[in-house]
Amino acid sequence: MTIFAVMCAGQFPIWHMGRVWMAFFVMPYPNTRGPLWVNFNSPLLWDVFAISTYFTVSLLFWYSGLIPDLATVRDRAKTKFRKMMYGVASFGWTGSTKHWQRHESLSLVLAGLSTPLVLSVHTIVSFDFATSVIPGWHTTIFPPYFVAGAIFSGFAMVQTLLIVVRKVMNLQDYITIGHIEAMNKVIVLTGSIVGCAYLTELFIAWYGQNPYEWYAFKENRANIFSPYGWSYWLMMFCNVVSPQLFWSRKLRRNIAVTFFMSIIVNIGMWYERFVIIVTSIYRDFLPSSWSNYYSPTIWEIGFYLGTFGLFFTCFFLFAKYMPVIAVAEIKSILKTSGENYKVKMTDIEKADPEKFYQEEVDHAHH
Amino acid sequence: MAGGIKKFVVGAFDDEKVLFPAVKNVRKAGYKIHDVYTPFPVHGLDHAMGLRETSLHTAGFFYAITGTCTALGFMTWIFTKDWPINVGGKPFFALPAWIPITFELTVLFSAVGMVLTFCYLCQLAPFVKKHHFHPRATDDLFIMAIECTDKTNPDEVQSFLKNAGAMEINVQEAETGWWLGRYDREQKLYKDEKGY
Repeated sequence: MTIFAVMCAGQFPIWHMGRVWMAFFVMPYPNTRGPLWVNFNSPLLWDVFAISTYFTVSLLFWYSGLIPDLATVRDRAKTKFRKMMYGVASFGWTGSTKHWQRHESLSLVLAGLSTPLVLSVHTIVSFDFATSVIPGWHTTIFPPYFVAGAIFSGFAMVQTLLIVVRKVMNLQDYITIGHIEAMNKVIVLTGSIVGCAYLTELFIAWYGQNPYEWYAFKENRANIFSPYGWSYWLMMFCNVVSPQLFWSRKLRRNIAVTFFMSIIVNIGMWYERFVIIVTSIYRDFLPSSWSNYYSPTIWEIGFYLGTFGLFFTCFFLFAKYMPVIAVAEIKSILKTSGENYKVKMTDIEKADPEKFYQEEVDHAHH
Repeated sequence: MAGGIKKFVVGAFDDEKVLFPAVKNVRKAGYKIHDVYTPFPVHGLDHAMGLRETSLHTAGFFYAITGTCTALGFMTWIFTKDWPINVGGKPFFALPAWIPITFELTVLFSAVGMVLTFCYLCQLAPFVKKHHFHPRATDDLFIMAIECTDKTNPDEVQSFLKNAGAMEINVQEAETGWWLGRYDREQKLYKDEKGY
């Protein structure tokens, strides 16, 4: 999901350059223009590095984890064509103990690198806004606020996809209601963090005594009767108010509610970006250049729908042809937490403690 | 073909509880374990087989430092020597502004370097083919391959493995290295294999 979403997101800066055939100008390479280098002090360039690194590392982590599972698929494939294709994709994986040892080490380090990378990529995206001087963007709370928002919307999007995939592919034994509940807990936590960030931002806009900043928040956003006031309050409702339902254990464990809520959160986080961008720049420092109402052009809508197409095409292809859950990882815990193990444990759990002690522990010592 | 063809006695185990004592006894008896192939990482098996710890993470650390130095060195050279830009009289050596890119390149070098090293050490690449001792090694069986030297009596090893609890034992002549090949050829389909 990360990889396909980054592919979609990465397109937009390129389209927005206008001259897309010159997109490679953002790369620092010796050129015939001086060589004139890119500006390493600019957050926009930091973003180039952040997004490309994030994409590359996610891709490597994803694929290196898939290799043993693709080998499993290869060895169970029933047609020649599949055997050939998965044979190429699994890189000749054999399952050697030494290879597993290195694989474990690699997975551990890549996971460790990916975690700060998530923080860095969203921090740097927020710098694109925060280092500018536009009222409503120029705030120091943006990095943690964007990170919390990313975890929040990321979990919601995973829920949207996972609940459908789990049902369609019969993965109920592997992705349990306990997992879904745990994710809903993360959603209520991060949703509340995002809520705190919204309120802090609003408070500081007033407390900071900058008339432009306060105007952007008071009139362009919080005033529900302003042209875009509705979008601010829609964002507030979807991201802060509605996830509070997940304080209830019953609702956290309800699949239909979870799915519905995940869609609400996706809409809310989309509106967060809409609020940040549109309400800050449709009225700038010169009231004479204020536009009355921004409405997207057919091309903007087309680009947006196009990302849906790209994302779901990639996602469906992945779900159809690749292992959607980590097969090897599931196997490694099957002996200690699978159904077969639990059935064996029933007798032991029901046994009389005194008798069990005598038979198992005492006996072993003599 | 790399590695050469050798003779192996291969035993299949279906439980870690049987596998671990078997590994220990086979080593104690002086036989040389070529490898144990498992469908998932079996923790402690590497130590039981006497393998040393991997240094892959150390390599990752050095790749990371290389990334840090590359980023800092490159940006310093460009902005202080090659093409200094005066931004409102601010210092040319703008270290705080370079931290994000330095961090990203550190992570990038480390991740890419480690994955390439991993693929090199394990000899993994597209179109690479290796000998697979058992089609269920990636599915649900643990496959132990014991290398036969001139002094080894394969029949003796077979009976030893049988006593150790192996459920399926055979002798195979196998290529130890890798070659370029396709998995739909040269090897029978899974449904035609024994043990399917």
